[in-house]
Amino acid sequence: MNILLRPAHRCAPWKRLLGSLRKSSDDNNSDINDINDIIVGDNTSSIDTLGSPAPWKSMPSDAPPPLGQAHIRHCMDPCLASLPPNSEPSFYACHIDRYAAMALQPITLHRLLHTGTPPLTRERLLANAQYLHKERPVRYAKHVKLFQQLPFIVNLNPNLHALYTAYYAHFEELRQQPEVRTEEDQNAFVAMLVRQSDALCDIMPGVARGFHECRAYLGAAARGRFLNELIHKRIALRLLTDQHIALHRQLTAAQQQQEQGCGIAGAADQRLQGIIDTRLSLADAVRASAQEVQAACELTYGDAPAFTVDDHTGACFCYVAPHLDYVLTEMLKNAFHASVQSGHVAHSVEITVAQGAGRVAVRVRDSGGGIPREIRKRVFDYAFTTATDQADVGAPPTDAAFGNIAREQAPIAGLGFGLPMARVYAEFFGGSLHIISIEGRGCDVFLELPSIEQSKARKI
Amino acid sequence: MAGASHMLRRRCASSMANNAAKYESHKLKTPTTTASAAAAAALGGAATIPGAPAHTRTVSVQSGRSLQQKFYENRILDRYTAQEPKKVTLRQLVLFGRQLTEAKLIASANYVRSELPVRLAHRISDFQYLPYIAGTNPHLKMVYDLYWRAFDEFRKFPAIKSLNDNRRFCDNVKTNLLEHSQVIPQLGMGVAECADLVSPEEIDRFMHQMLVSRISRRTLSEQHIALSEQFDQDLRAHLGLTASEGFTEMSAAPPGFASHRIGIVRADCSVAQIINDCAMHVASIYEDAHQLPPGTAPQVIVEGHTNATFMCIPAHFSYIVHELLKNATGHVIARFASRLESDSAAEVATKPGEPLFPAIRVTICSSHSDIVVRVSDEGGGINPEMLPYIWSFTHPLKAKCLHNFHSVHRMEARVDEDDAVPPLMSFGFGLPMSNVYAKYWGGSVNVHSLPGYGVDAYVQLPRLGNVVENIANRRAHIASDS
Repeated sequence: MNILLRPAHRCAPWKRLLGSLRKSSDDNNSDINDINDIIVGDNTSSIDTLGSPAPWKSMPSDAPPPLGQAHIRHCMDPCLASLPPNSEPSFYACHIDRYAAMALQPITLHRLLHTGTPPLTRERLLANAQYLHKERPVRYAKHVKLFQQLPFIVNLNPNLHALYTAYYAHFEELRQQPEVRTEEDQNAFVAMLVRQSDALCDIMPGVARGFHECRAYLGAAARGRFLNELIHKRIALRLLTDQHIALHRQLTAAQQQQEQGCGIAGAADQRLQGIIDTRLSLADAVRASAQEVQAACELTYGDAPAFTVDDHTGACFCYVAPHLDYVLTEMLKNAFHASVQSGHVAHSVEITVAQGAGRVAVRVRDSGGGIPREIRKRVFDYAFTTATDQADVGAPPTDAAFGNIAREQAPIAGLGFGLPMARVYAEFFGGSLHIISIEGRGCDVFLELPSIEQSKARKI
Repeated sequence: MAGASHMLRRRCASSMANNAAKYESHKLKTPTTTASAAAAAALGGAATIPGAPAHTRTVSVQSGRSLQQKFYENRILDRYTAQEPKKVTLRQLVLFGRQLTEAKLIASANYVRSELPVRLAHRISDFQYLPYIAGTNPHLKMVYDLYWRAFDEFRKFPAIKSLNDNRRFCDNVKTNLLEHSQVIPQLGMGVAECADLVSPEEIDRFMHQMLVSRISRRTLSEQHIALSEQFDQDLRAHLGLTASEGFTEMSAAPPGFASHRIGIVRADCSVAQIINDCAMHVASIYEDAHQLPPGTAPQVIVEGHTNATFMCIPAHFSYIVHELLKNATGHVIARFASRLESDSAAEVATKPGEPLFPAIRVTICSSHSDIVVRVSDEGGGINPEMLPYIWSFTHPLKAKCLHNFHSVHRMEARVDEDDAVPPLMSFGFGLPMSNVYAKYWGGSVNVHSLPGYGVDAYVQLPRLGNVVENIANRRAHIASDS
């Protein structure tokens, strides 16, 4: 009996399949793959920084929306015309399996910082482009494979199936892409990245709808596993993509400045390295989010508790600002909402910021009465919400305005996706999100994130 | 381990489109396209795949609308999967037929009419819980579509009120039985190709449920058809009509008329008779295959309670006995194959006048509630490597056998299979299928191997026909949050 030769890291496939659904991610596979590492640039020279960096909140207007800002754009992709719509891989085609079997390096803050460490040169960006060129099809293949493991009836749901075929279409397009060699190639490559990123920027409402329709076919645990996996993979893909796009724009802007004869601003520190803000002030972020949430709360419910921000450390760290933004907003929304609902609006929401031992932390403490025992287990379940159960998911939730404040989540407010998604974001780089409920009093929500100091980052 | 089935998938791919397979191996080396296509693609225009046609690796699913239909009409299925099948015992079938009036016949028709969709629905639901990728396998998809059509047809069939309605219904059922005779080969090929996508335990459980349910539906259908035909025959006789005279206007029997038949069930089936019939059949198969003179195939000696009888469906019991005797005979002949060559007659250890092969001993034991049949052979035992997998429907070591399904289009898993199925072609299905038949009525099949010597196979079946059908509902997937 012939046994096919196959890559050594592939264990009995069906075990791996079942196992990958149980593990939170298979991105933690640290096998060395055949993708080349990034060429390390020369750290000593500085780079022109005019035109950027904007503070973390106000990106240049032509920058691509990082990580799913919630404008709903349904882009019909003209360049995918080669593939008929709704195409899916045939059963016998093994190319998905082959790509999906390739190991990937995990995405860490170090790695992302590494790509953006000044000085930024064309050669480094080109190397990054070539690296992405090889890695992205693998990531898309893993997405497709994830959908293929769903029960048949679940993936047949039109909402989910549309996403499945969309990922497959992108995968096929990427496979046919030529290598990136020249400046023109690079521009075309970035244009394609932008296009693909936009096309899939707003998938969560469809996913939520799809799973709502399939609730009879898939239990909460299986659904949770799938969605955690999907969101984790999606974050990874978008980080890589958005980082490259941002770096490309940074470099282009810098070069334009140089050509126009403006001197090199002596900024040895460039605050923004692609999508990573190296001097993110945690307290500022918290204050800004809290203000927004408070305003929205007042708008929706007519009243909102006050808040205090307790920050002795002046914590600053490197992080992806929109991630932080999203998680904080989720935490604060729940706190403010609970305060108003329980009638304890007079008590302010206390927010504490801390830093130490390589971590930063935020504690949000509210007096909203806590979470009742019977629903405590389910707060991190997808599609679980204490908002009234709507028979028809299409109907807008009553507190849509409240939900609209966070960029990510407008269309899915009230569908119970916010908290579990926030946890995936928090845990992505090794952080954590915990909720302690003191019944009768309120909740303490702890967010912990890894902290890489900027000085350390520069030494990479 | 899954390499073999992966091989099977690739082999199937190449049998479907050779170009695609060659392109596949080319792609293994360089994921990027060639330079000539690069120029076109760099312009951001539509890129074409050089070489293989796109359709072999990509299938264009039906339009979004029909997908929507398929998903949303599943609610109809949900209504049926929520119902439990109404299971019967052999005794009930027999008692039903004993005093068969027109009213009872029509009741039977309506029972079958309502049972078939429920049982089909549970199995369709089983399909739906396979991973999506397994569901796109063309063979499994074909069975799935067949089942959906049948489900739809039977659930829409209007209630039966007269004998004419019943005749129409029986015609429908017969057509359906015929159409579904391709299910077993298709399922066989499908699960073989999906072996690396679903765990072996899942596949075995899936196949077992599929086949048990299939037998149950066929049993109900065939029983009703047999009763209807026998009723009609008796009605003709009663009215003095000849066989050729039609009576399409006769939609109701005269009042008080009753027939006394029990369809495909036998209340006093003789165990020894069936064993002897099967033995003769098996002997003739092997004699044909190996060109032996008649009477030289391994003899089957029947001992024990040779007068035992029991209530059963003879076709089912025959299948099990037939499979076991085939295995036994085949192994015995293979073990002593040297004796087949007449040149080496001098080396043969047997004395003249003694049979060429050691006999196969079949022992019948009848207790109050059970029949046990033991088939003992001296065929050398079962290969220890295969031993853990003899009851499995799909295993890499059997992958080669499952490939044989490509050559048969229809299979009904009966002894009197028509010529479409070569009797000695091995699919690796015989034992698992026998297990299905036995378990259906609450019995069992067990096998014990004496390495180097032979095999003892035990069939145990309930004797009195008072055991309820052993079919399962669909797997509850949403019950627990495990």
